[in-house]
Amino acid sequence: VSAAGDPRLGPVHWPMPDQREARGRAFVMALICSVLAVWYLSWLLFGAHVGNPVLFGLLIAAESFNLIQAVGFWWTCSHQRMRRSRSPVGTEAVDVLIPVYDEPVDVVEPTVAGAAALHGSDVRVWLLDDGQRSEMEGLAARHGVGYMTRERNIGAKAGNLNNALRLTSAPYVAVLDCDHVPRSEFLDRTLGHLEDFGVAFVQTPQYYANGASGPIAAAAAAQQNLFFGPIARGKDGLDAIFCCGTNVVFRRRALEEVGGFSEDSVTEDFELSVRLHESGWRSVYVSEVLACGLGPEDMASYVSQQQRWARGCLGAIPLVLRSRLPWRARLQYLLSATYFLTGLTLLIYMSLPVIRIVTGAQPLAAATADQFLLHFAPYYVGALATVALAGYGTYTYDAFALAAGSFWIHVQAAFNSLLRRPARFVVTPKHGTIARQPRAVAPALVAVAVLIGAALYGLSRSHGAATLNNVAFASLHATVLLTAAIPALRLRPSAPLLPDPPRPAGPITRRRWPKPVAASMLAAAVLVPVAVGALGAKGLASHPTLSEQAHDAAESFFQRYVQPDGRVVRTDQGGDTVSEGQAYAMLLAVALDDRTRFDRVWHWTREYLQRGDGLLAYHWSNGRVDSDEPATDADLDAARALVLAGKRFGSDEYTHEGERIGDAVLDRETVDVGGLPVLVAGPWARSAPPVVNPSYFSPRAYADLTAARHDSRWDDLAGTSRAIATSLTAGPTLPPDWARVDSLVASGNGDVSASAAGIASPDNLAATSASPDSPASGLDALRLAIRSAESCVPADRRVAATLWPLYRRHPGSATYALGGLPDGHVTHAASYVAAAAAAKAADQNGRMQHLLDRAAEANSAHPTYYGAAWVALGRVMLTSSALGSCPD
Amino acid sequence: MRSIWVDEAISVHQAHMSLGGMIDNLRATDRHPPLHYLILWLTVRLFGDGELAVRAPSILASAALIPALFVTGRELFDRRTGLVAAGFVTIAPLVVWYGQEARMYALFMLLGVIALWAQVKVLRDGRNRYWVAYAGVTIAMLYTHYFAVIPIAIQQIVFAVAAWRRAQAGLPIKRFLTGVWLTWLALLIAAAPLASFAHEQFSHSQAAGMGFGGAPSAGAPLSIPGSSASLYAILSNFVWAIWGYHTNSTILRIAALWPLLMLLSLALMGQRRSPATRVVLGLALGPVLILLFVGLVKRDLFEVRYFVAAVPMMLLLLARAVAGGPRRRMPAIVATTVLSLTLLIGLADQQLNPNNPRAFDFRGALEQIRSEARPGDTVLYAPDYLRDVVGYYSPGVRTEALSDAEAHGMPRDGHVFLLGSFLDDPGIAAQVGTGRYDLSQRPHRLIRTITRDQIRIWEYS
Repeated sequence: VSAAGDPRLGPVHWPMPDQREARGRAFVMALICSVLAVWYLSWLLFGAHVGNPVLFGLLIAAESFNLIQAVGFWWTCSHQRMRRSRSPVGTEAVDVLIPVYDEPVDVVEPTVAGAAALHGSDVRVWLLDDGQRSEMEGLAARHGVGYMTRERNIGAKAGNLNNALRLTSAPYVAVLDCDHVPRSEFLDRTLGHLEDFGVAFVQTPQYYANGASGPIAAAAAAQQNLFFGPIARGKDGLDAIFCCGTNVVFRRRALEEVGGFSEDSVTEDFELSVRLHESGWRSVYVSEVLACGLGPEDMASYVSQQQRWARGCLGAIPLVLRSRLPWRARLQYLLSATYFLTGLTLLIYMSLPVIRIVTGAQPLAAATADQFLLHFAPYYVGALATVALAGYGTYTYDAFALAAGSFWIHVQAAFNSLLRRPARFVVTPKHGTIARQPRAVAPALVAVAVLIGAALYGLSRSHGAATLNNVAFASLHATVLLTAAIPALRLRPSAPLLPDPPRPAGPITRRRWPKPVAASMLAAAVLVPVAVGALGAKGLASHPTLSEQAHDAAESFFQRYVQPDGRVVRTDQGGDTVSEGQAYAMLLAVALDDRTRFDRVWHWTREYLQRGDGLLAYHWSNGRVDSDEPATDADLDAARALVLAGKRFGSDEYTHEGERIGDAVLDRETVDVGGLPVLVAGPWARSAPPVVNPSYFSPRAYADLTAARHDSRWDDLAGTSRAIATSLTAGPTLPPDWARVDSLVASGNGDVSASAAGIASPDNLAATSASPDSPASGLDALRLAIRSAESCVPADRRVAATLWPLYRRHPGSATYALGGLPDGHVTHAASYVAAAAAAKAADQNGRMQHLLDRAAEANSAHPTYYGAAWVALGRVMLTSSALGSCPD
Repeated sequence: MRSIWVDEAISVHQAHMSLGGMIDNLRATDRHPPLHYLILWLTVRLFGDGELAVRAPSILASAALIPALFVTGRELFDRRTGLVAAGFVTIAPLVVWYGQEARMYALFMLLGVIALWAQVKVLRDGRNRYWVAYAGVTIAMLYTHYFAVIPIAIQQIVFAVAAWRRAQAGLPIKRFLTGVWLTWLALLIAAAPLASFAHEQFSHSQAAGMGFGGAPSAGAPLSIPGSSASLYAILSNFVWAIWGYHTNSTILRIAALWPLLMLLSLALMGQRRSPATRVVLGLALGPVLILLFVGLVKRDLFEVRYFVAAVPMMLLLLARAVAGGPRRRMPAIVATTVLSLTLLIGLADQQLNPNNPRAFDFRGALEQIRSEARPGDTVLYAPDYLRDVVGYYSPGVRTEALSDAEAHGMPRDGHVFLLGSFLDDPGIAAQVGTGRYDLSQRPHRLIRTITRDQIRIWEYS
């Protein structure tokens, strides 16, 4: 075999930093990262940010696990030891063992040749052929090395080595995988360390020289470089370097003392190291590339290797836990073994955006994206920078992606270990295939399909910042997984650097993708959106179906009237703020499925307007509350928005806040009339006769709060409100802005009848010059039609339908006489919305759309805060189920 | 072409003064060094004060930025990177925006790029002409914007590192150090009069209770005013820098895509960065980070226009990433095309969306008033600093600040047009609200309201 082109015989790219610099760099980064980790974790754990408890628990578990791994990495790297090579004083005999099973000759021959050329010792090379092939025997003969076979291949590689140990006798034993070509100075640089009688073995790096042969080999090489660079050097500094199965020289006595290699494990080297350290032996790591090997060149080989490592290391955890190792060594073994649980955490991270998009549930609550980013980003950047700096730039994105794309291997290995399923030793293939290998990445592709499906579903439902944030997370995971998977889906453009083993004659056929893989990917990509769409058709846990117009109207309201800090500013009315506006914005944020905005508006409301009893002060201007009086409509709308947000965003905190305000409404903003509760305009309106504002009656708010609280008083309020509204609109007449309730009577069958009359203005309010002389139906009253039309109860919708003949004649007037004639020529967008609501209740959907369009035009011509709010709310309430749908 | 806005109108007003008067005015009322004002003063003398004329210096500067970035990109990296960077800067929304504004920002960007080019030539060639060019351009930068000290300081660090490396490598550095010292000397001599000028501006500003900042800013900030440092504010500024000005909700949506930055950070792992990349990275991020820290103390100073000279550097880095990063041709073409498309979409939205919070249609509003107002009518405006823009688009009738009218008495005769802008500011909204209330108490009656981009007008009979 020609050596030309064999990368194992080429130059080595291996950074060898100064020990002091490497330690110092790692130590400083560890310090910084520790502070950042505390900053992030303390915010996460103690900041009262629990959203969905289960998801929060999973997130904490994943973050804690990764933090432990990260701290372990920082700790390890800050103890790096750079040993100088030590030549032996004498010329001791060394048995060099090269186990081989089915590897091709061209892979093995350079190794045997390299081993035969080792100098500095009395070298006896043995080719341990479990394949019992004549070409191997010939190869051994060509190079003048010993050849050994067994009758029965018991114990795989470990059994092969143990057999050789029995048949050889040199005081030192070097083990080389058959694809790892040793440099001639391999023993010269290592044997000197074994002159210390307490040292059991000297490990050197497992260096993949074929990184240039393709993306998988390059990524695998980068992964190896990180492990055999700072990590292995750090383990050595902590006296915990373990044997890695190749490129290692053992003291025979140590091996014999612990009974040789374990034949029950697929990672015999790991378990052997535990037993040696347990017996008091020490180990040494020489961070110098003294043998060059071949890494996996295709995905199937990589998967096979990772499956063996993951299964072996996870299976060794009980052994480590039971061992009598020093605590530092035990921790190091545990860190290495549990690394293969990382895939579980990745599964959690990938699931979170999908769950959030599909169900609305999320792990965190009461935290803005800004706050999360402020705490998470420094930790993330610090951790990433540490990996980059500690690895001296050898760890690459492709290496990370390949590790991430192996998440399913870790998950599989974890479950197999848990179920104690037996593992099988599989030799890592040494030659890459040029065919596609979709089967090797099928689980990752299914995950990609689910992530992309969820992202598309999210985009089809909402373009709010919260959804986009989760779509971006899903895209991030999908991109990383695809980066790992794509090389397996391509035909390799060129043959691997080493010639392929002989293949049957005939053209290379392009393997078609296995049907199960293609089918499952397609099914996932199609079914995820369809399934969640079907689920989403019911209830509020689904995402809103906002029309483009509704979406734009709500966005426009936010853009024009809602400040970034969450305050709704009546810019057309002197820049003040009213609790009603805050509640409108909260409802619209729920409809937009925009948690960030909801958080901001609610936090501002809570901070500046909420009173001790839970109700909201009505008016805020010039930096302070200037009227502490609450307004019932705002309280009721805010309570409803919070309850809906609790459901939509998976936040119990919101639900509780909504219930609290709802309870306060029941306690302080209702009054008993004839044994029945009546929703009055505010606490001030409870004195007899009670004053109501009929437009505050909100059947859907009652229903939502009933569902949340199961308090029958809400049902009672629904009945009395309907009775009062019916009484006030009988005739038919338009509802007055203000009314007085004289009496309520409940009949035997539960029906309620009311006696109420419109009033010009509540007596309790100071009369102003603008107060009308007689009852009028103005900008307040118009909301009754909208709220009634939105109701799921036919009787409520009938109230709104009753108003249609009145609104139809002169839609859009800002003020009407109760008989339906406009009072003046001023029009208002909100009035068109009321007419649209009445049209909808009267099943005039075409007219409804037309009137909603007119409302939008009117508001566009004369923008007002109130008009913009009701144009948006009208679209949302009358044309979508974004605030919840009615049961069938 | 969009309407002249407040800051531009103030600059044009100053340019109409005598040269000495303008300098005195700048010293007493402004916060910027005088170079751009001198250019504007000359422009007004030569070409008048039309919208196109007063913006001509910025248009020329932003046009010159295209070849300048090409040459710099080619010098630093390669021809392909230079071409892509020039393409990006041609359609970069923020560059287009400030290329249409009669302020100093386009010139600041151009000089920043030329300074980088000159420094690279100094480091690679070392001939005297490049030292002279570098010194001249940095002095011009200082006289254009005070925050030029940040990129200049970063460039001095680059010189120091280069000198240290040359010394480490055993190369002769005497001539190099002489060039550095002479540049410093030239900068110090040139900056001496500017120091006194700046000190006077600061003193006047302090006396007026504003400090060195507080200029009127169009568009509401995204971060919560008065809150602690906001990473979303940084993201917003980053989005502005690359994709231009948009509605707050659009900016929030783009900023919500921050997880994609995690992807970028992961992709950078293991990538080797050349010294040239590090220099550009320093000039792109250094001013942002420094102003971020300054912004912790004085929030309104963390604003993209103050580190606008970093924008071409960011575009150069992006060009390098998409055109020079991927080894193969197809990924480079796809990445360049995709990024160009996003820039074009950003440009279209910035220029055409009437909800852009930075686009103020003063021209449209005041032209409508002029066409409808009659002698004896009055235009009241708020806030006060609309004075110059109202003057620029003179409505042809009496104009008065609302605050003055409230102090001296509201007009009683004729129609009153109350023009309000910056109504997102609660203080201004409250002032306008009070004015409307006062007007409604008089024998006036609200006839109608007129809405223009970021402007509202209430007409009272």
